[in-house]
Amino acid sequence: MIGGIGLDSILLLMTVLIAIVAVWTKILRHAVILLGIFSFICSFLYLYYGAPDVAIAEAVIGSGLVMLLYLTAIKRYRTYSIIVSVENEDRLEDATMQEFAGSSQGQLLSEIERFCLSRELEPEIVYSRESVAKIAEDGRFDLIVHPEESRFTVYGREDNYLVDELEMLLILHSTDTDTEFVRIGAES
Amino acid sequence: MSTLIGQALIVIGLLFVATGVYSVLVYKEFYSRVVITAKVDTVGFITIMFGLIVLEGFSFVSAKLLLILVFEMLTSPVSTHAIAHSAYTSGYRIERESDGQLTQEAQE
Amino acid sequence: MNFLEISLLILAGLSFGGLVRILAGPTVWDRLLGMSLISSKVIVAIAIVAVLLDRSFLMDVAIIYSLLGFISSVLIARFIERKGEA
Repeated sequence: MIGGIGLDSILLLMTVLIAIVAVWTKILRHAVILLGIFSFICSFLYLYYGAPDVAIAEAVIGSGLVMLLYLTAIKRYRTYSIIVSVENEDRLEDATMQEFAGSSQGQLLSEIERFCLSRELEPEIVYSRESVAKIAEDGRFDLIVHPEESRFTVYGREDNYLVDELEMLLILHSTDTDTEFVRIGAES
Repeated sequence: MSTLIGQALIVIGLLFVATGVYSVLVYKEFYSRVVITAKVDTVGFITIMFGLIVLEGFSFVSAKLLLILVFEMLTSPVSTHAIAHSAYTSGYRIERESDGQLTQEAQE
Repeated sequence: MNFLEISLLILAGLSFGGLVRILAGPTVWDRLLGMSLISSKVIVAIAIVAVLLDRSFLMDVAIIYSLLGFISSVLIARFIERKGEA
């Protein structure tokens, strides 16, 4: 142990912060990542306090084995990938995403997110600057959301069983913006 | 003399790492942050490790330090590449594909 | 206070910056990036501790750490990728 410097207090503060956020986060994959960092910092603390054997055990178990276990457990909890096509924006930055999430159309998106969470699906919202046709051609999506000035278009897959319920939900919740629902054939 | 060189190398490496962390906090786009972690952070790591090797001199400890250095040089860019690849295949696109084609045509 | 101790403190402060990116980052991949940032800083910190205390067996912990950090970040990246199908 190296005495006299406040290194451990900084790291302990970090572990407390990470633990609180890991408990409060709604998305499980974020919690797994936070848990991995928690055990990393924790095992450095063991080493700092003069127990390298415990540190090795903590690193192997906490950061390797437990993470693998949680990831295989989460694999059963399917993700629902929602791709937001913002092709009218010039750049895609963090501020763009925050701006969209705060707007009235972002409210609809968070409504979809809440619906997915209630169905035990993990919503994965990905922003893309590609056009809708390009994303549909690529075929790696469950739902494409295309917000425009006053219209809100949702493209869903024909073979997806959730699409009908989502359409009902969106019609209920869209009061001031036009919401259009388009189904894409499932040939891909 | 070797102590001075080692400490100078460590200070330079810390500056590199600090630049990397600052840019990761400040840059606004995801893929620019990926470049920063893959390059600047690894350079900082290499410099700090070389500083430690110079401080330690020619011994068993410095051989182990060299081993860690080689290992991290091999793995750190690979893991960053895996992260960027995962984001790209999940559909996170910052640039439109047609944009790149347009600029290529303009250059021709 | 030693030179190496000061650099350890600076490294701890820098890893706090990586933590801020993890807590703030809008997407999962930003969090993964912050994780690889923190893990590289922890490896450097272990190496510095080993040189400071002059114990060569602490280096083995750093080797295991670099292996595990690599494995876990690649593993999570592959699992997250498009429903973990790839």
